[in-house]
Amino acid sequence: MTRNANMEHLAGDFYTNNFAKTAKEGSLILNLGPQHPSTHGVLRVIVEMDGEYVMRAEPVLGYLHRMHEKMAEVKTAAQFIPNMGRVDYGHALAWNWAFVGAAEKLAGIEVPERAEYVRTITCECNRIASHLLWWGAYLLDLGAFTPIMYAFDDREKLLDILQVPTGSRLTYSYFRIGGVAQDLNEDCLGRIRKFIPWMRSRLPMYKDLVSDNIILRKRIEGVGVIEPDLCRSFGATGPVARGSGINYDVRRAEPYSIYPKIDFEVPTSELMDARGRYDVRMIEIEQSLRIIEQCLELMPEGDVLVKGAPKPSWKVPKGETYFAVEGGRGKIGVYLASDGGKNLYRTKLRAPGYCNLSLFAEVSRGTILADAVAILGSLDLIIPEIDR
Amino acid sequence: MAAQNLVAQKPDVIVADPLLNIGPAQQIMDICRSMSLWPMTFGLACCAIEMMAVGMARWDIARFGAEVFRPSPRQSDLMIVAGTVSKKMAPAVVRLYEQMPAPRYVIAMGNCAISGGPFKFKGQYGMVEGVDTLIPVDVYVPGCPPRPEGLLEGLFKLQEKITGKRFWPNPPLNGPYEEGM
Amino acid sequence: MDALLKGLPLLYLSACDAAKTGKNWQVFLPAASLVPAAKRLRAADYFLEDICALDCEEGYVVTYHFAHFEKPGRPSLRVVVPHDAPSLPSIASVFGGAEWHERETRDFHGVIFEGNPNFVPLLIDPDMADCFPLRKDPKSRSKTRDILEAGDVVFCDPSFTLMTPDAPAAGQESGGEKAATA
Repeated sequence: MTRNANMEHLAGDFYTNNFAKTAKEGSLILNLGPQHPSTHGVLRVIVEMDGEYVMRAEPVLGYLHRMHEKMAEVKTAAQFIPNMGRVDYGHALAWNWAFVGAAEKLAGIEVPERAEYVRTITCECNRIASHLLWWGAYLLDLGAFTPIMYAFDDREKLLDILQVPTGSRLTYSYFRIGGVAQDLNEDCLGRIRKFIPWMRSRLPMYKDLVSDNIILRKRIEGVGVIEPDLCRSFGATGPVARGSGINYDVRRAEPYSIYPKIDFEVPTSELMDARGRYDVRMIEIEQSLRIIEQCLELMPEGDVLVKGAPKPSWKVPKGETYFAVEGGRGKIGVYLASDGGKNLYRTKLRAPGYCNLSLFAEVSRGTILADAVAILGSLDLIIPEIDR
Repeated sequence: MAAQNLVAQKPDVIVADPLLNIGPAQQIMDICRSMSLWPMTFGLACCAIEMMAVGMARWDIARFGAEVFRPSPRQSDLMIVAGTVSKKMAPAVVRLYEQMPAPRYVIAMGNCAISGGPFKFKGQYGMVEGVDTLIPVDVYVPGCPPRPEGLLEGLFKLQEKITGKRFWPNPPLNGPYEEGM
Repeated sequence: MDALLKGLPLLYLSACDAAKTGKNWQVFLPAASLVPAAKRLRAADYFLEDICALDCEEGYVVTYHFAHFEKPGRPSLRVVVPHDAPSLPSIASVFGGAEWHERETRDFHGVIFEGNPNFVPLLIDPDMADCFPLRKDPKSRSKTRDILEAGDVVFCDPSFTLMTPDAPAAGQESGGEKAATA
């Protein structure tokens, strides 16, 4: 049957062989990925199955390892900002913020107040876009082809808004050390003001047609229960932790920028399953709209970039720092260490998806394969940030 | 799965000449092929999101026949490599290409697929600098990520390559640009 | 933090400037104290944020960042391992998430974590698992004290001189901390 006698490609690769060492007799070892129709990127999960039940799962990473931490040692700090747009393209502005915030914290650079508001408005717009992308893709994974069309329609409006100041649709490099690259002009602010009521009018439709839909409810209720102690053991944050009842949001726990002045709720859910995580993210979209409204009212006039902002040749002063922001997926942390030289000595990017995915092996034990896919989707993974 | 021998092996079966090589019939077949290309969902990184946007309501690749994204390479004839190809992923890319039935086409979307893009630097250790080192590429769509219109233009160029003719009007140089929302 | 780690042998404990460094405590430990300290932090409901290795002249400074869902603050544990024998006990039995962080540290720096349940390369292709990309050229390494800040010292073992200005006796500087990490 085979044309070539070389059967080496049927022998399984390094990871499958490693996984099979502890496999039980008679079980099926199945590879999900690295190319598969769900839209998470290149994630590979090896599962050991007994019939339709998952006995054991192991995510295999590294298929999109793009060497960000090595690049940070080769480029200067200001040259590294475009990388931050590509680490997590879903919520690129939060990664922008984490990096420039860490550099500003280390160097003691104070950002003008208007820049803080611009950062907050654009970051929250990006959060809504990220959650819509997650929502559409999750429902596509579960077999619903229509919601993603609506999600992308809303997203296109947001991308049109964010395109004006940033110049990009997806992988933003908008923030600078000391502020942002460009101010939001009246056209952009007008578009944001029109967008907020329009998005608000869409959310009840999504709730009626999708969130309360009996098929979705049967698929995600009771699936993937994550106990709070598991979150603590693995360091899961963001909607994964909040969906298990842990009230932890970096904007409240380690406040940064102007978030202390803004009134918004941090949604949590006591359900602990995929439904809880789903509800948390949908409420977060509404809360982001609230934050944007308040910022539009409170925003003062002024510069958006501090005078004497670092140029590309700027050397980071000696020291180390850790700065965390709340991204769409959880707590984004950037650790910088510098010895005062031309480049950063060490940059460590703490991705929320990395810790969120590491608990998948525990959570998916004993579930059926379709539920394992539902759990993966509810964790909201973007693989480039996990692989960095 | 050694990283050394990555280049796609020449397929044992070469696309044979048709039995009846009648020019007009072949031209009609080419037009049919180009108007119903079935892409494979091969989104690797950020460009995947723009590829998804092309399939959605605003840019609607369905107008041009290519909305049937198939997850399986056996059922697709167009591979849009959207994103960075790492050395770990390279054997999978080659295997997927080899699994596609001929005639098959490849669009390298985004700077990473063309040449390594923003991740090419001195001392880089984990990335394949351009997917054309692994598999033959028909159309290159530059951008980081390219706009959905760019990918559509790439599709039109591929259709032009297959049929010899471009069917869609060229975009006007001076607008009209979209007004308002 | 000193109350939490009471009774464990420590090398250095200082309170840091949280506004600049983002952490409020830094503790240098000998390798033997690492797992007990992690157990105490776990019992106090801290979670592991990440594990990060820094390639300095004196060795790899492996930093463990912790945070808490309810309390503010970021205590960080640090262990220094020598370049030629970078080996540490794994805390994966205490914090499940540590397994992946330790595998990543091995991929980038080559630090071995004894007792990690699945110690295969995570991010790097297994075919080139020994390239250790973030290891630095010995000429371009810096001293630990040129990067990290000393902070307000609460306790410093006399043999630990990584953070203090150059001690007069060279033998004391290199012998003391390496013996502690055996």
